Amino acid sequence: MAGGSGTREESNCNTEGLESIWTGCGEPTLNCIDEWMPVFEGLLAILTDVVPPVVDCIGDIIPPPSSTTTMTTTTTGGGGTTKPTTTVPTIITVKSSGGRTLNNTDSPLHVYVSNTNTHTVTVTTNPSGVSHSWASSNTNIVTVANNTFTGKSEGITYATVTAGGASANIKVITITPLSMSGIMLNNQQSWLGPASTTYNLGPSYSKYQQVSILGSHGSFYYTSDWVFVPKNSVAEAVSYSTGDWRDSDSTDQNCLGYVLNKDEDLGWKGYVVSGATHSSDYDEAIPNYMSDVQKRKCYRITSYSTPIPKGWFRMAFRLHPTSGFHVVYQLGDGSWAGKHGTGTPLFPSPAINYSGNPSTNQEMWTAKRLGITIQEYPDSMGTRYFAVSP
Amino acid sequence: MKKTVVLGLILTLIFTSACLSSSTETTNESVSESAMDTSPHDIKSEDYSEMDIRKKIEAAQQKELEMISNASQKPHEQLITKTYSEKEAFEKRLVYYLADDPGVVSYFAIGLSDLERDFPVECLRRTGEQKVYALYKTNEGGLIYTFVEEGGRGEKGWVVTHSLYVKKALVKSDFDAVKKGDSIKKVNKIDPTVELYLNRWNERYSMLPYFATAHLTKEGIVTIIYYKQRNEYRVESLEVSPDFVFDIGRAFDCTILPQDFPE
Repeated sequence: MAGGSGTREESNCNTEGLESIWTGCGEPTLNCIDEWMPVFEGLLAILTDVVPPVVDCIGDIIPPPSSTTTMTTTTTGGGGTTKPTTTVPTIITVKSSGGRTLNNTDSPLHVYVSNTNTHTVTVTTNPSGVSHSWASSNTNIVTVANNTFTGKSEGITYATVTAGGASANIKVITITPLSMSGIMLNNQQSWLGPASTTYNLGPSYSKYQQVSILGSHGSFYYTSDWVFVPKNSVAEAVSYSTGDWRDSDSTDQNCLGYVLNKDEDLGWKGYVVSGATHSSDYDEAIPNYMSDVQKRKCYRITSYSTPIPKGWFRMAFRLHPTSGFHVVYQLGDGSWAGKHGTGTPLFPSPAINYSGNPSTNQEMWTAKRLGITIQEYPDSMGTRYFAVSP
Repeated sequence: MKKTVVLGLILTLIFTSACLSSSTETTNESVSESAMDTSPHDIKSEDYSEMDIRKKIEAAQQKELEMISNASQKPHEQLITKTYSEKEAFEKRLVYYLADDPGVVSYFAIGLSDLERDFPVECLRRTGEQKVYALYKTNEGGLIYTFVEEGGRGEKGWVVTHSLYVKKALVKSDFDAVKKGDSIKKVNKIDPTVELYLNRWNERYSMLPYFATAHLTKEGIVTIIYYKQRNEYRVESLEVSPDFVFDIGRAFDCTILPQDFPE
């Protein structure tokens, strides 16, 4: 088995909720929600392109800046989709307590609030000091007073802010903490908004789950598989693999069997991609196979040096244009190991240790027999990297 | 030299794994269909389950189980309606053979449901709790035996492990005259499938000094190993496996039902 088990640092925050997602045991707890709220709000705002995502490693969750971010929405005689009630120009600047609620490219504006935390939305005007007011028939907004919102249940409703002679509709999206627990980065480098109510993340979805990306208008852009990495592991993301050199010349073990430390000739059974022409065509199939068949967590990373959770290892994959595939894995010392095919008793296919970057070291992708090159996996097919749990 | 060692000299017995082939041939529709649609559009939550790859895989597994349960013992003449040309069978790797794989390539695992999709199985035989084979016919009058095992290669489910192509009814004594040093051409006169396998091998691995063939006879599997000498593959050794299991480091069971021996 490649890699040992990672250790976890204690946190002041009770991460039991996330742990339960990881292990599939127990109900998620929400003790951490206060701590996570800014994160969630930040990520939600990222969805609306207010703040670009800050990612220093795949699978990591990077909290947004603590300072508020302001986006100015200029409404000439009104904002959003609402016709002005007056022709008097008024500029309304709206910002949330999380600092990231606005998107003036969409109409109407968006405000995300949770149903547990008080959410403050402030409005400034130009000229300043113009009094403003809120109005809403939104039953999901428990409180609309002095710009303070609290959601009641998941839903999308509207509130209207009126400042001076102008008004704007504000789209208020209320989110339950449970669905917000699914906000993280997936292997497609996309940020997850609120999961649909159908796929709220609970303990039954312990490995990974197909969830939805929330569109700017509350619609779902697409679904994809997400791998849930425990918070602590992400927090301890490391720049090295965990894996020891394993010698092998087993005739029952091919490259994938070697990487997974199984004396088997594995070939992605059930997950072979129809019409694959590039290694990237396996970006989804490989994590699915790893989870469903091998019972490992796996997600794609962007390079051979992308930080991965502690205790995990990196795997590199290349597809051959016509015949088969090859995989290698990284050892704890940064070198790589692979085994080309199963071999035979008198002509075994030994495990080989390589150095360097799989994307550029063609030696790793050259299968030889008796010193003769039998098959090469060309660079043009692309090299794809994955983080794999032990 | 012990049998296993001798046989192990080769990695290349005429063994197959139908369609093991190229990535474009070894496919799983369910995967491609589940490819993420990145174009923004509304998807109702009810649609998600339909995109769930795992459900499609479960369906494939169920299909395999149904195929296994429907395995028949009727004469293949009553079951097989479609035939394939030898050319197609070899090029598309309905006949895939270890001669195609010198053990340095990791091929994709082909499930029984994949085989059914690419080459509809009309005649499936069960030879054991975890063993079946599919029988196909060629336009040239040959029979293709594609062997499938549950848990084959270490994968879950029913996986193609190897295959044999037979054009002629043979008995062990047909090979009595074969001796060490004989040209492979001599063996081809006994079993005309040798040339087909050799041509395939030479397309990619002619630089390798060894080759091997396996032959189905009523008395067992005859396995012949060749070494290249004087620019030609020549017989190095010949073994008979009366239990129909030949061993090249891994055992490949070629047991078939009596009614399926070529006549």
